[in-house]
Amino acid sequence: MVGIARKSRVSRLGISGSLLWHSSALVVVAAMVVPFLWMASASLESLPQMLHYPPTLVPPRPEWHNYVSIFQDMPLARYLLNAVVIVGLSIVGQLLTCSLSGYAFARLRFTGSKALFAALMIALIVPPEVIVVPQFLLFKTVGGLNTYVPLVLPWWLVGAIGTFLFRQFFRSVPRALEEAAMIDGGKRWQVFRYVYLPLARPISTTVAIFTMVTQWNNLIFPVVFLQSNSLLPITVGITSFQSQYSTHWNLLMAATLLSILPMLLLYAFGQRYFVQGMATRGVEK
Amino acid sequence: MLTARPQTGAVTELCSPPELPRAKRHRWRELAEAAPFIGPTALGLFVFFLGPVVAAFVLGFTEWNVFTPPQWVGFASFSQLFNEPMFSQIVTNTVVFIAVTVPLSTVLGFFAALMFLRETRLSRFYRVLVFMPVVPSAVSVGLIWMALMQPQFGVINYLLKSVGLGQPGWLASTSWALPAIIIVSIWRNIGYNMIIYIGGLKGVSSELLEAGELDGAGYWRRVRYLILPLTSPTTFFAVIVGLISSFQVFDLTYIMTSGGPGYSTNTLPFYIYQQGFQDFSFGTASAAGDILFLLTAAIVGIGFVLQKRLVFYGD
Repeated sequence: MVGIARKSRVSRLGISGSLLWHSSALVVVAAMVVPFLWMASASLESLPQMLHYPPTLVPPRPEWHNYVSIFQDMPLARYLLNAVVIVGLSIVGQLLTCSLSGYAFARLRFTGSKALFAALMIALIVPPEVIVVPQFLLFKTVGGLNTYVPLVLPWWLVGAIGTFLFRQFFRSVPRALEEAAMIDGGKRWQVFRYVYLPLARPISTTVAIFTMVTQWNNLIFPVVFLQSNSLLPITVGITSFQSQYSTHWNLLMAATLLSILPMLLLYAFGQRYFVQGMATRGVEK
Repeated sequence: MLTARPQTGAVTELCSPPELPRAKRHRWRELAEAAPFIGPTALGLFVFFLGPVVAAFVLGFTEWNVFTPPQWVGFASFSQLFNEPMFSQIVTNTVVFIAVTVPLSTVLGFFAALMFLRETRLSRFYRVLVFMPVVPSAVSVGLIWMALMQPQFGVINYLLKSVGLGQPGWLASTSWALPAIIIVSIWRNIGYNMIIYIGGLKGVSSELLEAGELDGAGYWRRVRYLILPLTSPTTFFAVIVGLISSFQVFDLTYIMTSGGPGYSTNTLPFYIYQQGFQDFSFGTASAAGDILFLLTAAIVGIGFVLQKRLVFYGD
């Protein structure tokens, strides 16, 4: 364990130091969490209650009816379903292409592999706003506007972070496994399918979760490519709800809570997968 | 049916072919072998990323809206942008946003990492909570803070009032709207940077730190002279990641202010969207996009130059 991470800090900090740590930690954590708590409490208030000043953290009479209203006022279930569809399609495609390319960059030698990988990493720094206009014009020309194709197709072909993660993972697989398989007369494809892929379950989960969060939270691509209200995922749906009901803050908070609930639940149960993708990248660079 | 027999590492060394210069025949064979694996990636990269970047570059020199076909106008789109009186404010807003958000969220994330570095159950629990703002979409976060920052009944102004401070108009005020978006952005990104730094801090060698402690260096001296230099690669990485995340200012602007009041929260990402998809002026949108891309490339370039001078790798 690293020196600064040793467990017995109380003895080194002393009582006052420990008290300082606990109180400042509570302030920091409160700052991060209270907005969510307030959102939850506001979602259960009636509108006059919410506008009541000073604001109260615990609603005296929870208005559960708010949660029924939002389903009546907008196609919330549809928005959530659409988001699930987009995310599901993206995950499948991303796992397929990134496991393949991650393996290629980890284990295959071919001309231009370094340049291609560098180009892939550079694609991370490109602002999405820059590429969204040409992509829009592309799909306007070949067709595909107002469908999920522009949103999902790129994820079936390429994924910078996914490829990076798979590559890093596959590099740590002992070469001996591969050598043994090829001595047995195996072709490259079989090595991938029967040796590397079965091992890749943990990293696949990380890539899946990363794809899920990125696609679920994405705003600019659905806003640009989707026109029909019935196709909108929850991020865009929320914005149209806000423009219609801009003063009904209690309903807005209820809708927001529902829209973030899937991600928060996923986070609650699998936070190490969320964190894994981000923490390891620092080491490589 | 293929089975994988685990063997010792010695087999690897015996079986790897030596590094011979590859004949041309081998090169094509290698490419053919790799093609099904990286084909989709190469295709997707060029069609959906690099191609559009080039296209955006070219389109910046055209005038194209929905009604008329594209016409080459050279630098006219660019000069039109620069003559637009609000454009300099938009660029300024963009630069200010990045210049404040990235360093502050990185520094605060660093301190959060120091604070919650221990592997105690309490620390780990706190980490989970501090990371929570990163999880929901920027749109949702924006909505929550819109409610919090409501000038009349929002919690933020209520807290400020109870300690005797002023009551800013936040999103309704031209001077407070951009700071509001900056605050939300920093709040969101602290947890992300904390995780990055915890990863980096764990790699710091304990011997060096204990040597420092034995030499009589207090905690903060150790942080400043040992930990900071040793985690400079992490800092570099965090800044780059922070830059990439800053493009999400589009999401926050879209939901919270639509660029207003006036142009006070309009930034390049949002302006590009406005030009391209509200005014349907693809030429100017691409020109603005080129400027954003150049700005980004410049910042990354500066980062790499600074890396040579300030970042220490390994021993």
